[in-house]
Amino acid sequence: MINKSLVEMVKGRWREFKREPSAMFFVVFMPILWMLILGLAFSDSKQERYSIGLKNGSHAEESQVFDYLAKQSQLKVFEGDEAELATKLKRGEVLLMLELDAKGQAVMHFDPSNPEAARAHDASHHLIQEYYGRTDPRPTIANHVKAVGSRYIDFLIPGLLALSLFTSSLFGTGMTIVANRRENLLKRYMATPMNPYEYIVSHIIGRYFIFAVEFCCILGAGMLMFGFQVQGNWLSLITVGLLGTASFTSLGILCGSRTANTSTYNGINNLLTLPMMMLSGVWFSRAHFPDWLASIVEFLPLTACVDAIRRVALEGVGLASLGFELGILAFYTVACTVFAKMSFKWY
Amino acid sequence: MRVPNAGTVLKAQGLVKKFAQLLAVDQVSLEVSKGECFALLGPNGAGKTTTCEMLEGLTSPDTGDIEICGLKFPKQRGDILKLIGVALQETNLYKKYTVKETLELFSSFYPKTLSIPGLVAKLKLEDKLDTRLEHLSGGQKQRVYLGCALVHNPDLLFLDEPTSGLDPQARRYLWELLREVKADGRSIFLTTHYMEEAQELADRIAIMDHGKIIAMGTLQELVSTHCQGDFLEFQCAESELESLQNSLSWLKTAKKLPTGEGFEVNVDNATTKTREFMREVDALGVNLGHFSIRQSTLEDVFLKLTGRNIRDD
Ligand SMILES: Nc1ncnc2c1ncn2[C@@H]1O[C@H](COP(=O)(O)OP(=O)(O)OP(=O)(O)O)[C@@H](O)[C@H]1O
Ligand SMILES: [Mg+2]
Repeated sequence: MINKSLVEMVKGRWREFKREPSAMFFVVFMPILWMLILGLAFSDSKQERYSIGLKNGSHAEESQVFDYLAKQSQLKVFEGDEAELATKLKRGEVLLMLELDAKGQAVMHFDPSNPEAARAHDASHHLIQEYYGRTDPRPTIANHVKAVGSRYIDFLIPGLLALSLFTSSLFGTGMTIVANRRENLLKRYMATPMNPYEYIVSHIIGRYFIFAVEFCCILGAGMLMFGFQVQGNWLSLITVGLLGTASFTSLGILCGSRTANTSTYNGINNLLTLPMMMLSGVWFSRAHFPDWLASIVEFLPLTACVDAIRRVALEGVGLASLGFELGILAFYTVACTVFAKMSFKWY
Repeated sequence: MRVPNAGTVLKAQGLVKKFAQLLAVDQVSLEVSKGECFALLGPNGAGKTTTCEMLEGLTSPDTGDIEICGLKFPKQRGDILKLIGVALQETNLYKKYTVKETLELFSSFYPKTLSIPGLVAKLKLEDKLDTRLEHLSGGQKQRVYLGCALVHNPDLLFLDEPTSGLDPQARRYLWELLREVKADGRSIFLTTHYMEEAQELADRIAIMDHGKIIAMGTLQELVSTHCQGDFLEFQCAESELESLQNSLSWLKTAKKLPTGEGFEVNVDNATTKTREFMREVDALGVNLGHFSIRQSTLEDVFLKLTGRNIRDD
């Protein structure tokens, strides 16, 4: 039998979401805004173009070499003296500074730990060899594929979906509970025969309705604006989303299980959200992290959700091969619920 | 030990609650009978809310017994909660809900409830049914809170300072409603720090101070036990009062009014004393600015018992 008080409270959760314009903004418009900004910024799949500085010196061949480099579409050159270019280098306006020394050898000054500068170095190196007549002993052919599902935006959209589920569930659930506690509402509930577990369950079920909105809006926007395509099974995708939402919601309930102070909750929320947002591979691949960090990050709930959504949406993987990710999400759901139940303070 | 009569809905005995060093409630015993309105009157920090929350089952007493309609906490808590309606001192219900949604939410918690249209009519909120709580006045909000406590037609209603913070008009309006609630045969346990509220609504009053009940009874009983008679209030110069006191010894207990304008004296037989007083005033040619007789009030009882005014901090 479906309990009428649970129904009434779930209706309430939905009402709170619907009538709070800022909730709508964070849940729906923020991710779409990110998608637009980043999608447009990286949608040019043109060749990368490097800004480099050419230092004026006294070598005889300099002007011809510099002219040749300036003509290349791959490069954007700035000529100047050492002091001028050193400043530009510091400000990041040029990636490297190139000069021809007394022997006519090109010397490039750059920071090798900056990957873009390293690529600028490679490009400049090749162009200089070309200028002096290098022929490749075994030329290679670059065949540019444009597979749907391999653009940056395709990588980004599943990440944004997971991030949005994470932030809205964590913040929305915890904050509502904390505010209800502060306003003595939880105490008022305890003076009714309502079963307290229904209040908690109403948050989880209520989140599923909000999940439906986020899911449709974010994926819908991705499909309409960027031609995003889901390779895998929609049901698998929804299952992953629901499990992710459940784990984030129970994390929110756990974080909001004791405090009655909304600023304290804000702090806890930020403490969790900010690192995960950076580390969980929402914006860029985790492949560049040092091993020790990568192996920790793997166990974060947001990482599991991002990975699982990406693998279903982009690689068409089925639930059966997502055991690790789904396990992590299920673990957080159960563990957070148990701890929340142990530590929950009604008033 | 007294056996509670069949009409007792609430019986508390020897309630004690300590917060760290502070003895918030100290050996409180009280009874509320069916259809009765019982007021717990006391200044800020007296321990009213703490007492109330123990009776509602929200706080457990360190020692003491509570029985509501023959049921006890914590074993029969679920059954008790169906019989009582509660309005806490400081609650904010969801401000984005309408009146109707709020009442529907609370009625969903109970197996048997009143019809919402009927309840809303009783609360005189018909035209606010679809208004969100954030757009209601303080008095209207308080009526919604009362409605939430009434949805399941409880036998016993707990109201912790139901009118604090309301303007006099809204307060009178709520009193009117509470009188109707009482007329329906429900018992009410009320806390307040307004003397007038206790006087207006309560059948019996307990005065609480520093965690203890220092007096209990009907208004009549309290006044006749602790502050018999009436008060004569009059205005004259201090030197004139002294000469009046020389011939009328009972005037020696006269006190300056808190306003500073004139004096008051507690007398047992107002008619005789007034006659005597007026004779002396004429005889001495006292320039009397103002003269009146008033009945003793709870205010006088409280002052007598504690030496303080209830609103002094
Ligand atoms: N949870 C608590 N922890 C510590 N002290 C408390 C707690 N609750 C109440 N007190 C203290 O117990 C005393 C009685 O408080 P209580 O709230 O019962 O007073 P009250 O009569 O309801 O006052 P008011 O008219 O201001 O509502 C106060 O001194 C208060 O500071
Ligand atoms: Mg109080």
